Amino acid sequence: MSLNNRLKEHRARLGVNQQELGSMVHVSRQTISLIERGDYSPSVTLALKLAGVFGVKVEDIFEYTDDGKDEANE
Amino acid sequence: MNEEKRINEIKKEDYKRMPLFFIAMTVFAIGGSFFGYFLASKHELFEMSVDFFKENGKLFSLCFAAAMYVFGTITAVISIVKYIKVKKLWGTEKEREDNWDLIEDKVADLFGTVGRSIIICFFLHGASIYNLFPNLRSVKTETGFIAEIYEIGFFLSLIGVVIFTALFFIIQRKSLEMEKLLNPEKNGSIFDFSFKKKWVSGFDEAEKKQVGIAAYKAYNIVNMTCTIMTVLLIIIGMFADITIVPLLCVAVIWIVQLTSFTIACAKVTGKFC
Repeated sequence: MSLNNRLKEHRARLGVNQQELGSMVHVSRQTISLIERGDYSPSVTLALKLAGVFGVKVEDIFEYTDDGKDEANE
Repeated sequence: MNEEKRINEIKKEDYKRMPLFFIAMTVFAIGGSFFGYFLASKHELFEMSVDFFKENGKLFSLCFAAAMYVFGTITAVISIVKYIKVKKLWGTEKEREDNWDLIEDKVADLFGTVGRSIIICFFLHGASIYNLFPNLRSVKTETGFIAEIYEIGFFLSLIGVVIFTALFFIIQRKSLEMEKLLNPEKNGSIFDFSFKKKWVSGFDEAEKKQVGIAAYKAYNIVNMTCTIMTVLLIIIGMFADITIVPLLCVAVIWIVQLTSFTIACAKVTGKFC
């Protein structure tokens, strides 16, 4: 599976750095960095929190595409 | 019916993998036999090595103590240089955003270097005072001068291990300070006995996943290492007098690792809570 995201764009629009965004949603800066790079798929709770901070829908930040790969094996 | 279907599926999967598994096992068994035969053919060399080590314990003691000073000094300097570089990278607030991931990697690397150095220093200290009192007794009957040098070696080793442990502890504390600067949500003092508990409580979902994957990989690597060490020690023990202590140590490490991993897994799933 592939989860593309536009987190960096939304973060830039809000004018905050990774550390500040992490504090807003109570996760580490590293987690924000991992999500932005597409190396980590956030939980539903975290995705909703991020959407809440940006004032958009979850689908506006994350886009799911089924590429036939299993996430557990990635 | 569904269960029967599932059992058939499981069997089918097993049968599919079985031939390759048995071929691999046969190859390992044949390879192991040849390796064992090779080691056995060199048993005199092994016996000589063990005897040489025992007979020259006094000399090795001083060598290990000296090795600890050389190794400790080099790794301490490397660690300090790495720390200074990290501090430099941390630099101004403007540069931080771009370098943050790199700094995190470098701090993790520093923790690894310091951890490995402490283990090796402990080993070298242990090796330098190995068989100390029997060696001292045998030396004293020969000449007092060598005994004195040997006693100096012992104290040098003891002083060295204290100095290097303290030095690496300070570097570790500084690295932790850096880690806390990088991650303000992380808590806990290195002087606190419940430090690890407090540190883990600051983990978010991604960090917990990372730790889980890393722990499982480490678990598999330690299992593999223990298997190899056990086989090697069994073979070596057949023709060299190494006592059962090394084999016992590996068995203890293996059992502790398996048991602690199983208990930790059960705790995570809430069975022991």
